[in-house]
Amino acid sequence: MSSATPRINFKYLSQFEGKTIRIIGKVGEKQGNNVILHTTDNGQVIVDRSKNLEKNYQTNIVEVLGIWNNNQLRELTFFNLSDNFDFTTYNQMIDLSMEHKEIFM
Amino acid sequence: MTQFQLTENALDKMKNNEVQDPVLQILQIKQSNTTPPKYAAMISDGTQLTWGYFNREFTQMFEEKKIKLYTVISVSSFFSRVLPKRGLIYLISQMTIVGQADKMIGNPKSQRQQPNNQNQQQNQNQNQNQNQNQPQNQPQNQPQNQPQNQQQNQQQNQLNQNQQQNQQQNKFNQNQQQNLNQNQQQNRNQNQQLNQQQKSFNQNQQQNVNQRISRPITQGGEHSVTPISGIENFLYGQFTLRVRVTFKSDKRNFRNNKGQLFNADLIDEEGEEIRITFFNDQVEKYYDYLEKGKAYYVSGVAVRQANKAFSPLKNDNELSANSNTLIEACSDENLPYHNFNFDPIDQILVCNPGKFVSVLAIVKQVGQLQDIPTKNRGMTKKLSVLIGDQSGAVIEVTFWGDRANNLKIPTDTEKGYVLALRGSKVGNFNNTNNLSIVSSTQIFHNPEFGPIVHDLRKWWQSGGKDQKTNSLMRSGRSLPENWHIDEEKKTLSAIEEENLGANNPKGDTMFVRATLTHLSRTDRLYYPSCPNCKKKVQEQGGGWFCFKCQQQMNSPQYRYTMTINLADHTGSYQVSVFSPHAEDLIGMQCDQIRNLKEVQGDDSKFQEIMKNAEFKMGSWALKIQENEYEGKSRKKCTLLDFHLMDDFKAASQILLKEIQQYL
Repeated sequence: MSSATPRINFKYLSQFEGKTIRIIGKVGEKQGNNVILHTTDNGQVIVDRSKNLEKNYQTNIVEVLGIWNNNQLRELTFFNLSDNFDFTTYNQMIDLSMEHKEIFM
Repeated sequence: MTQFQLTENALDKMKNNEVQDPVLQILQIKQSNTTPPKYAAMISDGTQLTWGYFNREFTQMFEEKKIKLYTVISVSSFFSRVLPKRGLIYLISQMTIVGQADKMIGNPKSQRQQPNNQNQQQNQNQNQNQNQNQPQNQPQNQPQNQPQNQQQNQQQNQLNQNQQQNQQQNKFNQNQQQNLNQNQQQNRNQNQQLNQQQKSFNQNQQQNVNQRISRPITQGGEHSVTPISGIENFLYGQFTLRVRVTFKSDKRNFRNNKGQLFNADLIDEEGEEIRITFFNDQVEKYYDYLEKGKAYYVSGVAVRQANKAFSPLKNDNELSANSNTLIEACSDENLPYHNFNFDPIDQILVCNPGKFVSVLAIVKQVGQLQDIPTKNRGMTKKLSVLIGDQSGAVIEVTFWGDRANNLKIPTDTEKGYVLALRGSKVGNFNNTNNLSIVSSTQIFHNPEFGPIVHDLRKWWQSGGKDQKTNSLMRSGRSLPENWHIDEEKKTLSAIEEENLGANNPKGDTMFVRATLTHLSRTDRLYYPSCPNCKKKVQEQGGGWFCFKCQQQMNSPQYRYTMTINLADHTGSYQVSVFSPHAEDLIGMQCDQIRNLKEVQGDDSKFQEIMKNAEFKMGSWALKIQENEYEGKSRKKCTLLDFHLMDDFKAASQILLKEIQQYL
């Protein structure tokens, strides 16, 4: 089984308490060391960037890889994505892969 | 085992209509050469035998073996006919199966059935002239001819054997031979008696080995009409057809203008068609007399095997007129006007080229009138249209010359323009079958053929006109417009798994989503080609020479011949890519890259260009062909077309839709 970090969206977060995950979203408000990420299924995630502050998000849409704990995503690293990134398609993909975990995870 | 009882003396009683629903047994079954076949069988009443010919509606019962050897039937409706060879036979129009016996009932003797009508005398004369089952009553030539007869009898047997060999051509007569042998032993005396008549008859026959001549009927009096399907049963007899002319060709010259001929196609009441050819004198006599659409009695014609390469008809037989032929105009009551045997386009696309087909379809696209140079006749006009039918397939039809010039089909095909073609020729170009209009092709524009046309129009209006054609119906390089979206995609592993290319000499077309992983830099990238025929040219005498076109040129045209690797999650495959697709992949004209590589020798730039062409994801249309090479079969894969993945969003949506279908 591959050890790739699973890609999820907002509604599945509860299943991954304490785990490392990837999540994609539009960059929102900054609050000190935290950033709000608007996910592809219209959820809001607080990203704690304290360990990665030197690097700045370069685009409006990013994928954040981090540990989900206590309602916060502690960022480990991130990836810049194009503004053309299609939320609808990506969200459908997430739902499908979660419904058929045996194939994807 | 149930015992079946046959109606006693049924066959005699049937002659005079003295019996109702006679019960008879099937003893031998024969099939006609027509399509669909009609069946005939020897029917027995336990003491006598004759032939029964069964209407079309019974064909299926024969095919399904509901009627077979020893089946017992009850005949409720029948007609009699006189066939000179077989005598009186019955056309069975209504019957029911009583049951299946497992052996012959009674001991029927094969006897000539003599009809009880005025023609008896005439038939007897004919019977004497034929070397078949011998009738019992021959008063002539008895004792006096004994010594001569011995010798003549040997000759007779010799001629008999010759005749037997000739008869083998006709499959209905194979059984007759057995009868013949038996009868020879039984009726030797009778053979002797008939020698003189036989001799003159056989002389006639030697002349006509491959033709079966019939003598004309007596003029006046009633015509006893034979269906076209019954023709093959006539060896030396006579028959009359009542037919309508469905087609009349132009007069044509042959043998350096020494001879002339024309053809006509005839259709009878049952819808069977047969072609008749008129030669030389007969052309003069009948060309103006015969009119398309009119009906005639035709008799005194010769029967021979059809030459299907020249005729669109399905009949295995053809007729030819001679000095004995008689044709008279008559009533056209109950005679159909056409019998088309339309083939669906999807079948035409996979049949062998060279044959003639009829098709009923709607025009999808009208091409442009073009001027085309021909070898011998200067310039001629050419016009192609694309037609489609309910089979979902399309095919190109090409009109030439005047017909192209005068073709008035509206380019707006929305309403549905129906085109019916009778006898168009199947050709092949670029690995795809097409249709050509030849001089004998009949063209019908928006014809009123009844329900079949209505169904075609209905199909067109309710989606047929928007239907994207199934490209697998078109073996060849012509692919439908949106194949990368609409067509079923396979995986690369399918090439071996499904053994693509093995069963189709023209190759199989398939579509895949894959990534171009590698562009070979070591294999030859391009070749010097002839600008005319694209074949490789050889260096010769300071220039280049094309052997196919036999032309010399100063410099060749360079064309791509790349080898690439495509890969997907199931594996990878090597694919050959030629111009013009290669240009699109590499992004550079062939001359330019050759310049870069050989003339400038800029290797690093060359490598960069090759690298940039790699790792492109897309949809690929491939042609897989299998060839024998040094005793082994090898698959060859060529790129037909490709669409690079530029719109991931759209492609993903397609995939998602496909996935939904699985859930």
